[in-house]
Amino acid sequence: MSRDLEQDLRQALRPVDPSAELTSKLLAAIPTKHPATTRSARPWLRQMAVAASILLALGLSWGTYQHQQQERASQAHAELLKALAITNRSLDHVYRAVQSLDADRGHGG
Amino acid sequence: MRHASFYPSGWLARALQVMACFPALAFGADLQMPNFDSLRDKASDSVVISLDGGLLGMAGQLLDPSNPVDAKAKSVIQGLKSIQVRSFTFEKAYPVPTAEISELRAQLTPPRWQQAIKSHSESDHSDVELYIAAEANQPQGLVLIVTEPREFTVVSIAGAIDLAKLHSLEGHLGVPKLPAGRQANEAK
Repeated sequence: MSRDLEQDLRQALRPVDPSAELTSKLLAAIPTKHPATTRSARPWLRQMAVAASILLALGLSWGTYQHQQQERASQAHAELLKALAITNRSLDHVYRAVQSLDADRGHGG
Repeated sequence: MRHASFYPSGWLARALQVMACFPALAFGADLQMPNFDSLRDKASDSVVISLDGGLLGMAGQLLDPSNPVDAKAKSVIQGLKSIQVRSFTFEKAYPVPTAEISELRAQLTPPRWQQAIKSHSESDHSDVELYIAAEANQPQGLVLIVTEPREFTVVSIAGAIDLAKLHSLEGHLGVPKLPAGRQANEAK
């Protein structure tokens, strides 16, 4: 029973060569050349894609540059405050030396 | 007791007299600052700062004019060309970097540079050297070398600096404000 069914299926699904008429119709339906308009119909699309890529790259580069500049500025700001603090502390030695000389001169005079 | 040597001749004497009263002075003249690498390994705290005009400008943009301390700091750095600081703190006595100091002193030579102050304090065992650069009788640079038992500091400032404003930052920026009588006592 099942063998008959299998045989029937094989018979029904066997490969059949297309007729010459069908082949010629199909070949006739296939365009021999691609339409010339495929690439040139929307040239602006390609240009826009390139422009968008460039803008995106520029935007990312600018964002990265801005971020780096901000970090450098923050670091410079912290270093400036520290440098001013150390400078001020060091200048105290000078002021004390000047005052010491003034005091010595006062005692001497 | 402090032994101070002064070289008050001409403009220098006038500059020092004015500086003692915290006036506005113009300084400049950049120089090659040693990094004092020999001290870095031995120091418990190292500060190596080199800020040129560009970085000073960037840092200044982050100073808030509405904040009094920032406003003072901003006015101090206006006109500065560069600030270079090398400061090292030690847990114990350290070898004074004579080679680097000599390298620095070699640049601080007349006629451009004049040693304005060379001072030694026996009370706190510190040495202070102040050099000033001048062109056409105009101060254009400042170099400070401070040697203490546990600390070594070199500061170089180029450009126009207002010492009065700079000193007005005392008590801010982590700078401890000296007690009113301390300076007078130490001067005695």
